Amino acid sequence: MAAAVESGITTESPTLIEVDRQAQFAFSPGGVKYWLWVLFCAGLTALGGAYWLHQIYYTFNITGYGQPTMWAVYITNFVFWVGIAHSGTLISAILYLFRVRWRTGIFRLAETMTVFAVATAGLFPLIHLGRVWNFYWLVPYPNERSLQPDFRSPLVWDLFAISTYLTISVMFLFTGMIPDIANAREKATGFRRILYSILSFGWQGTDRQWRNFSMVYLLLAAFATPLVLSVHSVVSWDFAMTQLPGWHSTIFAPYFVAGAIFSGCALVLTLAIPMRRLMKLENLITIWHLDCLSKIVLLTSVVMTYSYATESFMVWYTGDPIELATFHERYFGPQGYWFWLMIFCNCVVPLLLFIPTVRTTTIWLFIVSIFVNIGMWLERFVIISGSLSTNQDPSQWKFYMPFATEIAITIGSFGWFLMNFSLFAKFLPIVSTTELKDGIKYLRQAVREVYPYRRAA
Amino acid sequence: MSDQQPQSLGAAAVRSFRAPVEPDWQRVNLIGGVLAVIGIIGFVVALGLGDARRVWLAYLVSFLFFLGVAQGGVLLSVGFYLAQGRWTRRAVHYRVAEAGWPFLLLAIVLFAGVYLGRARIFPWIAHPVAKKAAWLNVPFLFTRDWIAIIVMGLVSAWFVHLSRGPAAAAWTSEPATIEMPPTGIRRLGPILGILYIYLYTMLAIDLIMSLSPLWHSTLFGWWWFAMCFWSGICAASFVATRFYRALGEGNVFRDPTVLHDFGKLVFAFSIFWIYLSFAQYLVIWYGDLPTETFFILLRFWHQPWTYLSWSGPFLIWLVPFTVLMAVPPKKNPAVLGTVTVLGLIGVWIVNYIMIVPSLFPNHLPLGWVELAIAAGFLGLYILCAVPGLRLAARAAAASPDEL
Repeated sequence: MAAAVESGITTESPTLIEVDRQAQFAFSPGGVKYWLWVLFCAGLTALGGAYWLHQIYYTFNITGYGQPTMWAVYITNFVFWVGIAHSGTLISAILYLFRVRWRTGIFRLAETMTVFAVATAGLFPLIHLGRVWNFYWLVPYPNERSLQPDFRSPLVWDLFAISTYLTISVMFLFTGMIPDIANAREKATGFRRILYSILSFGWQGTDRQWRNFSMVYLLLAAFATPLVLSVHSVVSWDFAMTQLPGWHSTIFAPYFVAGAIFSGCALVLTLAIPMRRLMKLENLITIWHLDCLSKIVLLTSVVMTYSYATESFMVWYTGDPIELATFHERYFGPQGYWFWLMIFCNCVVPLLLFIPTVRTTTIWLFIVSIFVNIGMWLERFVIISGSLSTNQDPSQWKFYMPFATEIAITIGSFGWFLMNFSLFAKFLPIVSTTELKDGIKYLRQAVREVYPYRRAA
Repeated sequence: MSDQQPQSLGAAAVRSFRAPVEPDWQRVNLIGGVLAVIGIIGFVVALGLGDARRVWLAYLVSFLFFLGVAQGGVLLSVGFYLAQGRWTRRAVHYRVAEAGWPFLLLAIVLFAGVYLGRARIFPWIAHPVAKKAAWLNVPFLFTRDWIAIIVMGLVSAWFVHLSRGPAAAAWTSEPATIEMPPTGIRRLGPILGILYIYLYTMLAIDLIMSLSPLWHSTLFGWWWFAMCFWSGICAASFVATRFYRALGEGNVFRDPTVLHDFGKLVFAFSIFWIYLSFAQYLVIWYGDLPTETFFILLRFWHQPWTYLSWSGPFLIWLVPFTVLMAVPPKKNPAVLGTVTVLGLIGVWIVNYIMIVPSLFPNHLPLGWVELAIAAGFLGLYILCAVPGLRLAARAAAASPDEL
């Protein structure tokens, strides 16, 4: 309760005004510690940027890339960050359409994460280009030689899928924030008042505005829902469309989507748990919200385990010698430890979430979410780098290890993401007071009954 | 003001309330019994006429179809509980979803038919595939599949028992809480879900995919159990539309939100199924490996199978997608009922085209034999479902204070 008292909440059953007050407190100007954190993230970003410039100047010779592994850490990062972005749309759009009550406390945070995760992911195809200044060649534009990108290439599908996803995610985020920004505008002064006045688009809260807002939000949710499935399916087809053993598999699309939701929800937990403490949001992002979110993590972990098992079984069932060799190397080869670590992180550790006490204890949840984040990054690395390293021709086999350049750029991407996210959280409403107030009776129950389980059958 | 006029709105509601009509269950049982007898006679006569392979394949198709419908319904109920789907302050949607569960116990016995017809059904018995002999052999396949069907039947029975218990009833009657379902359901539901995805994948591989022993698709099991789940939704939605009329005024299904929600489920999971179908098809088409493409080419691009094969996605996806796009058709019992029946026919057809062309690549054996056997299974399913439907009808009877 100490945190609640500090932020102005004096009761365990928040009133509407207290929800407003607590949300306002969350994005009040940050202190020294906050700015030191942002500076630290900016430093990591600068480190990654410097290494990228270094790579542009000296080419890929300063990386671990080389035949046969020409896709490795950068494409792993790309798939990882696109995957992270998925939970935002799942929580915002699909759970909205299903009228799920617990989304109210965390959906804004997840949407914000989505936008910055897609923005981070979008950097990696550029970083992966040797001559980054030619990136626009992927875009179909009029030119004197009538050249067009190859529309049969999944890489071109990627361009359209990711850009559509980013556009819709940004629209969804900003549309949903309008009433909350208008609310903040009333109390803000100086620069913030100007910013909120612009971003609230003249919102006055009239009946007509609310009607239009509800309709637009519903339509955007309906439009965004298929994107949850389509975007990561397209990303999976970058791999599955080839005939490379370890990549060519029909299960890839739904398996990648499940993995994306798995990693995305885990990262929401990773961010929400410290944030609710630092920003005194315990009464708005309650244990109930975290408990429900962790069940999504558990469900998708089960789906991932099923996918790994099916994939392995099918390789054995077909008896194809090349597939068998690839998977043998994946499990027992020189880099087999990555695979088993991935299995431990994605399939074994999340089983702890079957225990209600783990789901309702923030430190346990935080630890599990970190394991999942590591495991899902490794999964992409194992699939991408591992399969390329052991292609159809054993004479070419060569295992990839990242150099300092790839490691620094990867760390830089985390710095870039966290810096943007932290800045957003202090300048714009990271929880939706509108929806929290709409479902206030459930929020009150969540604050009052930390353990929402009927004990006796 | 005459004496006939009510004194208040509440009194008007009481006066306008008419007790729900009890359906003629004896008639429903009679229909089920007649269909079952038609099926048994058709099966025996067809076997006597000599084309045993055709008869046993028709048996397998209908067995898998009704197994999927019954299991999909129970899984729908699991989904309702775990997602805290308390729509109506009553358990009607749980009851209609679970109604077909006794068929899962009957399936344990009916699976003996697949065993008896094994030599006609599975080509790898006569022509063993050396590389797959460790998996595709009669003792191992029938032992594991029988165990799977027994386990799923018993666990489903246990789940339905809990779902009909007092703790679940108390929980469903309090829709405005964040409280999770009772402990038993909370524990058994996920177990049943996990068993379903693994065991039904195994059944799909063993009883459908293995009929083309050289073909494989990693997504096939997922795709098939998603279709079974959708068929469970369709069956429950169809029952809801029938109850809308059959129970008369004053039943919960007259609340338009109930049919609307069923319509949304039919719509959403139909899209999910076509997504899985497309994801499977696209990878096979793009990869263009002969070991994968032959299965698709035979069914979708070679006569006599082409039209029948395309009718599957047409009935399962295109019809629900176009018809149920707007809100009013979802709330209309005639429209929703028609779409769900067509969808169920589509699922039966898809099961048929996954199984039969593997053994009859050049002609389409679809006639009275298949219809009679399907009718027989339908009859058995109806007889199994009637007790559960009676419970659902009773739960659907709304009292005047809820109008």
